[in-house]
Amino acid sequence: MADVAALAQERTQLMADVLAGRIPKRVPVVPALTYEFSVQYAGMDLMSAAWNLENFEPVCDRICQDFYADYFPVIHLRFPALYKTLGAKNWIMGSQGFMQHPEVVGLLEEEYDEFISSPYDCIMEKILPRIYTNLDTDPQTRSITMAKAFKIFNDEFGNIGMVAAKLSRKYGYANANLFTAAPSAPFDFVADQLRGFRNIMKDVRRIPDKVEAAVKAVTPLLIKMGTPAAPAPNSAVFMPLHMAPYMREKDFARLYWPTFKECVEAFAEMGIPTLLFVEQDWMRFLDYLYELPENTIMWFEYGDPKLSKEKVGSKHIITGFYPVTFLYTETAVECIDKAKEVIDILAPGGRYYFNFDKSPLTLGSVNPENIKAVLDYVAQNANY
Amino acid sequence: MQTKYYKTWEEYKAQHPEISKREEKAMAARMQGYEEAMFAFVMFLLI
Repeated sequence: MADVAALAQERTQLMADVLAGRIPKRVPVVPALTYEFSVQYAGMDLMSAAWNLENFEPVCDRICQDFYADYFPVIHLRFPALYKTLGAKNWIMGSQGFMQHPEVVGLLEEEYDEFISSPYDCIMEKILPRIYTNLDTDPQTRSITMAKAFKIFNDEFGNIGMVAAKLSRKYGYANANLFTAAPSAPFDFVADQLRGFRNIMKDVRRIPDKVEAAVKAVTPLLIKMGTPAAPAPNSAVFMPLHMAPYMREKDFARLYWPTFKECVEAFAEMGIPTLLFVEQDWMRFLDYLYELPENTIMWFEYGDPKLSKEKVGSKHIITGFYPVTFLYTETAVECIDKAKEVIDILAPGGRYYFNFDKSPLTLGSVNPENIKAVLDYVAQNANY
Repeated sequence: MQTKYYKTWEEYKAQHPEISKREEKAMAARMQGYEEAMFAFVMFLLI
């Protein structure tokens, strides 16, 4: 037990150093494996495992036993019980048990003004009943459905928190939390489930003033969503970024950047950095990202690691860039060589921890033995 | 936040003048905690 406590202390120090911009003793290893991948790896049926809370601990325990990590390595966010109870259109379970996200439109074009006037009222009265069909009913039935859904939400996150804490103690993981909350960037919030991908692209060109007003109106809600009750050490607000790579720079500068920056700055002022999942290729926007508060964490998917290190690496913390597809197509030796290449570019000077460019989604999309080989290699060799 | 579906403690208290100072001390944090939890839940439904 003393050894595990010492290990946890050492790993906590690694995370504390990297998050503060100090050079740690070695590169921290922080993989984020999806629960779906983990269930399949553990040899369980995904549909059954995803529906039943009690499977989360044994599945995660198996992952913790077999894959090196300095931080609790499993992420889980989509709960079928919740979405089924609500009659969701936005998250639907496929035949294999995966939660899939079809294009949805929660906000009609003619409702922009209503949303701008009071986004939260519009969410409650128009958007939720449109996306969650079981809320589009009489007040009594709706209140019962909401009560059940809220109970499921708390049961699921309560279970995840309990299991993560228990296994962190068991395996000596760092005392850190990089996912305290997960607000969207304001433009993404309006795009993702309110207007939908196709509509928002038209809106940007046809009614940019409405889009701008909507994005500004919802910003305080997203700052509130990411605000921690009490900021804890070694923690971060997680913010996945979606739409910018599909935008012209002039639209990005006007409609995406100002409120996104406002959110990240607001969290920094509260003493909590933001972990940005920089999805797709943001190389066009690196100069913008540089302007964010110091030690913002940037988990890059695609792009040029050298250019990113050069442009933002002296001020911000970088992770990602290791192509998860490599873990499927290449040999273990080639996978390790790729890790060396990525580390040689990103680790010098600190402000870097190891993670893949995205989370492996299914067992069939990666070779788990390659994941193990890479994580072990980084843990044993990426010393400063 | 301009909405009828979320209230700060101060807004709640203004609508309930019968709440004594002693009651307020005992109940404010818990009541506000549920308000915050419901807000977090509603926003989660759209991410």
